[in-house]
Amino acid sequence: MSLGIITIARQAESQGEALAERVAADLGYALVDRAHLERLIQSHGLTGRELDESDEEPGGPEAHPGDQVHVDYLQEALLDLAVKKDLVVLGRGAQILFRDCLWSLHVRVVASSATRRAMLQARQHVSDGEADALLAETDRQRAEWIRQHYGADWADPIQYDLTVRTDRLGIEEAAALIRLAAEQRRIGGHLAEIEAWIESGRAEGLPEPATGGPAFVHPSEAELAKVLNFYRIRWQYEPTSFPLAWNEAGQPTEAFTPDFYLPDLGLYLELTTLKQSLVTDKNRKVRRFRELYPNVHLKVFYGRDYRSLIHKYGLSLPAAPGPALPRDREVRSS
Amino acid sequence: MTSETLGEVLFSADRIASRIRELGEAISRDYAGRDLVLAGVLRGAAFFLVDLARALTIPAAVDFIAISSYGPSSKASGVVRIVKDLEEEIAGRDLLVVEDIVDTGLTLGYLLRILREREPASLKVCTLLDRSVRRIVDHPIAYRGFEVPDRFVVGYGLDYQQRYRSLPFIALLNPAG
Repeated sequence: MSLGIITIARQAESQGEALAERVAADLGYALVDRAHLERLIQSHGLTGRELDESDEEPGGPEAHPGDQVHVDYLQEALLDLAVKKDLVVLGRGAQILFRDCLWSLHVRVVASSATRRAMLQARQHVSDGEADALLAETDRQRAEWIRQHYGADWADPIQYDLTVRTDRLGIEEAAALIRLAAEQRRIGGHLAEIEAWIESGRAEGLPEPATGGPAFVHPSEAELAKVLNFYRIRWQYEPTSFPLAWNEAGQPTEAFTPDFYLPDLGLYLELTTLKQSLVTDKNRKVRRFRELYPNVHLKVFYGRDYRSLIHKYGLSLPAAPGPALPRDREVRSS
Repeated sequence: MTSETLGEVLFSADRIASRIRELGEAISRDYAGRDLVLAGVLRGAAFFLVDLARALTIPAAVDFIAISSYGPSSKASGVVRIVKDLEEEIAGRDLLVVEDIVDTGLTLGYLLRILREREPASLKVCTLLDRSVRRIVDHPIAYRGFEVPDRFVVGYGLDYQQRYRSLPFIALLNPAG
């Protein structure tokens, strides 16, 4: 029986690792833990250093300037694995990467402070206070990693379908509950659907990607789609045509189709071409559109506005006349 | 091909200082008796935040945040993220995001989304410059220094390839010709 993707996030010393191993073994799943990822990335010429930078337990509080590349790689590696086999993924923010995937189950593992302290002290000779500080620091680093790379609150219970407390349930019962929850959610046997979900670009809640998505009329539309993806703004390409004129039979004879719709903002975006004759015609259409649909929010990027926007992000601008503007500042982008 | 050159000075050092005093008075009045945290968005807002903080007549915590920006080398799978997070806990406190410039609103939109999740008592925006002609995503701007045209500007924290930040005034930058 296939059960899709199970992600397990855990408090430090809550036995999340042991539980993940048990669930994977019981169900015959591939366990994606640090050892698995190390093998994977070594085959791609990366090193443990890169893994550290992509881990939930970074070597220090400062983000490495290049670690987004490795996080990107980590995400791609996890998505690649997900279409090949059923997975139990331990940590790495997988609950966020797969949060919109219907065929996944997200589990958080917790235990009482006393139990976690005792678990740590069984391996390290530290005082109660030192143990508590170490546990708090590990959890803080994990939370910080999730916040930095996904902008999410690691401890927010809404991210999880199930929370299990191992000091009460033990590994056996906790594993049984996870199996039961996975069966109840009927997440099994959907590898093809998961593959389609990933290819559609919906991983991490992103909209359709600029490539492999709709056929854009203009290359700069594809570029703008990438910018919107980057800022996690959902978009639809030319989803609606608004009739502007009708014949005597009431059939539309002219329509205006804005390039993008941003559903979360209730906003249509229209990018102009650079040909003045076409701009003039578009101006007429936009004026008519505003008359007929005064309550529909439309932003039109004309000539200079549009070129500025494209140059701001250092994007390509086919046949752009005039001198090049300097690209906008690197860190500040808004 | 010549390199870019400084153009017209839009806002002199005196005019910037005067406007910041006005903003400081307004913020001090509005936040009197509250637990204010100023969150400067690196790197451009550093200069503005420092002067703004000194223009306040009320106590305020000062902190900084930085996030990644889109560029031509951004991977298709890349997404915006925090590069440097706030040190201050902001839950239940009054957070004022301090920007050097707001134009498309895309960066600010992301920032406000993630900061709102931390449940501050209030969340508002103060920007030195507002280039609203470029706005894609609208956000309420509680405090605004100056509206600027759709031209490239540098100085007083705003750079071009890490240059011009330290200028005491804000000027247009003429493109390379």
